[in-house]
Amino acid sequence: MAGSSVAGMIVGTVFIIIFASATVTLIENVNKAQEASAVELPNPELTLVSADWTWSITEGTMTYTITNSGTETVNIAHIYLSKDGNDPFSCSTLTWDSSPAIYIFPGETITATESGLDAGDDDIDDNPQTVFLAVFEYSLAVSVT
Amino acid sequence: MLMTGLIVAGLVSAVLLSTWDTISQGLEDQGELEIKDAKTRASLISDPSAISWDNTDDRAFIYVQNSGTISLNIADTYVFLDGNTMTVTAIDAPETWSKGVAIKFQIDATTDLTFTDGTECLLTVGVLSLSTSPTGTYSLTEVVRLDI
Repeated sequence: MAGSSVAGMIVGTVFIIIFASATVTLIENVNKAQEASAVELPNPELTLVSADWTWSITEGTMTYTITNSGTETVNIAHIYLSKDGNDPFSCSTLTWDSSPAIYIFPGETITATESGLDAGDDDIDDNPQTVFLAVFEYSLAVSVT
Repeated sequence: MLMTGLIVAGLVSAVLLSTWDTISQGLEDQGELEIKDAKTRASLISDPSAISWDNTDDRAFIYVQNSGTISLNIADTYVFLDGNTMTVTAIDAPETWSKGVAIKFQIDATTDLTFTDGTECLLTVGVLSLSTSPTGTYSLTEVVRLDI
């Protein structure tokens, strides 16, 4: 009788320990679930206002105008442009009209000019038709005017 | 009687505690994995409407940007094109694939793949986080148009 009482007490105590431990684990997992859902991934939103191509005797020039239409400040180095499916290049390789042009703040519009595009060879850069902009999971394409 | 009761209680307690410990550890690991997965992201920054494909070399080049919040493992990146496993080689890759960095990948078919110009097919890119224990994973699938 005494033996079963003591044994019951031991098992009962273990159950209490497990219940307490389960409560702690539950709280920890709720916190982790909140942490996972609170991970803030980059969510930029840009507008490629225009991509204007001009030709002057020996070389072509492309002028890009980009507006940050989102709510996040965007590092220009993270923005990639490509012409007609050609290799994308970082916008940080261009010279922008604002200085220092490292970030585009929300509502800001910046303009860059890419010159020295030669129509004399077969470079795909010549007379491009479409410009594709990608930054993180946001992308858009515009026709060259 | 007392001794028997104590022994049985001890054994039952040990089993219960051990079982709970395993369950608890599993839940904890799952939570860590979910956090890591949420931070692991990548995006295709090549123009999906014009991915150049070389029918002779069975090869294409794509650019993938780390759009997550943690560094990615360059060597473990994998690609499927139109359901075919591709051999992936990073070109001029930096040592660390950190947030915002784009890497050029050469993707080669392991078998002869011949497409016609304008073929539209699925491109899947998978990435793994650089840090392990646990390893975050993410994969993206996009329709791309091949430019032959």
